[in-house]
Amino acid sequence: MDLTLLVVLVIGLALLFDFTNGFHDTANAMATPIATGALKPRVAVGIAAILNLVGAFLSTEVARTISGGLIREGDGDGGVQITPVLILAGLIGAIVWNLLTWLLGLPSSSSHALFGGLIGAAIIGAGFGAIDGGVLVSKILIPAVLAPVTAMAISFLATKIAYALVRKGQRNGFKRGQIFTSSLVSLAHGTNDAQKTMGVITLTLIAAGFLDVDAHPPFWVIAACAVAIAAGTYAGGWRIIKTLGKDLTSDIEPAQGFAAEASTTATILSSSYLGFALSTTQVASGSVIGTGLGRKGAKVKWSTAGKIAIGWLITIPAAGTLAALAALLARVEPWGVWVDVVVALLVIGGIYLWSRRNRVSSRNFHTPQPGQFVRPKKKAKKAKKAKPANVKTKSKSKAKKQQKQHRAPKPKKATKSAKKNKKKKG
Amino acid sequence: MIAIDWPAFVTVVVASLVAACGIVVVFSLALRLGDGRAPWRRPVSYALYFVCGLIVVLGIYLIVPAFH
Repeated sequence: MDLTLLVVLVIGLALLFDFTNGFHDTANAMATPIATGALKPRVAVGIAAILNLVGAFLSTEVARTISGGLIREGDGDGGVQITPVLILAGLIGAIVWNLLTWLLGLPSSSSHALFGGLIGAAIIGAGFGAIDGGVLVSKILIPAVLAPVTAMAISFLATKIAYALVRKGQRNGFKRGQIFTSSLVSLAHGTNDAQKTMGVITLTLIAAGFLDVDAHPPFWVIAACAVAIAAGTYAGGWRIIKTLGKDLTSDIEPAQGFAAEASTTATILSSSYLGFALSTTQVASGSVIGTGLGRKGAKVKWSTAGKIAIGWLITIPAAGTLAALAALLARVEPWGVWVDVVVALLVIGGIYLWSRRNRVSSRNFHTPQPGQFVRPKKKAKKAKKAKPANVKTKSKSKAKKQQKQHRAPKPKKATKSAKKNKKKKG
Repeated sequence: MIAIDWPAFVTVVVASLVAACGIVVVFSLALRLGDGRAPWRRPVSYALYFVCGLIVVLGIYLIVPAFH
């Protein structure tokens, strides 16, 4: 197959993977602010998209190895030359697995999907010897247990502190804090994850001889990756946002959301800065569980947590198997690669059509308006002074509406004040 | 070879714990002192919000590789 054409295909698939990476990981940063109503759904994904775009341009250092040492890359002792065809097969495995987990609403790590895909393809290309099992255990498997447990413990403690220090009436103030913590997570995501795709594209270009061995990624690669991840983020993986924000822990309150995001942000920043890499997705999921345990009355749905854990366990083998199949097919000259791409596109289209059977979109996130309950009493009084006739009906219906919408304790006050108004009038 | 860098992991856990609980304490106190009658509460609350802002700036510093 023509090398230039192959490289173009790989770049196209890499950008598609970048897109799925974006919408798979929107939830990590934005699930809790959307769930608590700190940000409106569309605004939240908009902020996340912009920060991912900015973050992608900020990442200067692009990985020297695609797989982070999982595959013995390079020409030296027993190393595997990862050809563009293998990268293509790996990307297909990663994309299809990302879309399948999205369809099921499972927050699984996109990097693990990419590593899994590359591992599967490398095994077909060079046998099991190509994989460094020790690195697999120490960089993927053990952190996958440590990350959620750590985040859970920290988030549990942070939630306890938040509820101990702040009285009930003031807890809506945490919404403002949530905007900042979730924005930091988004920015960190942009700097980390867009880099992976840039690495894949750059290394493909180097392997094909279009770039020098020590070349930095060209500007168009950086820009394309940044736009792809931002577009993916803006598309919003609403199914995963729903799982993380609503299903895993029921009724997340602003204080919980803030505590969970503060833990996520702190854990991710310290892990990336101090050099013990933890998966953002796993940290974010752990934080949400921890905050559910930290508040009395909140319930953690362990069945959902179990499904997520199973998803994490099988991400690498599953993406690897898909990629291995693609790599096997790609061996058939001269049309194998084309069949791969066509089948992958058909599967992607099929998953998209299947997802339309029960759509989950920003409309599924009905959230209380920020500031709706802030001063119901005062409002009623002020309104009464101005137009006493209208107030009664207005405040009454408003209070009823509010009560219907959510079983928050505050609307009771509103009804009380409405009753008071009634009495005074009578 | 299976090698887990346990000291690095413990450092990460301690640092995250201190950072997360620290910012929650500061922000919570800022919220708590935000209203009340005593005249000293408001300035202290604003000062604490300012500390939160500094922590966010520190976060951005840690995220952007060009800074270090």
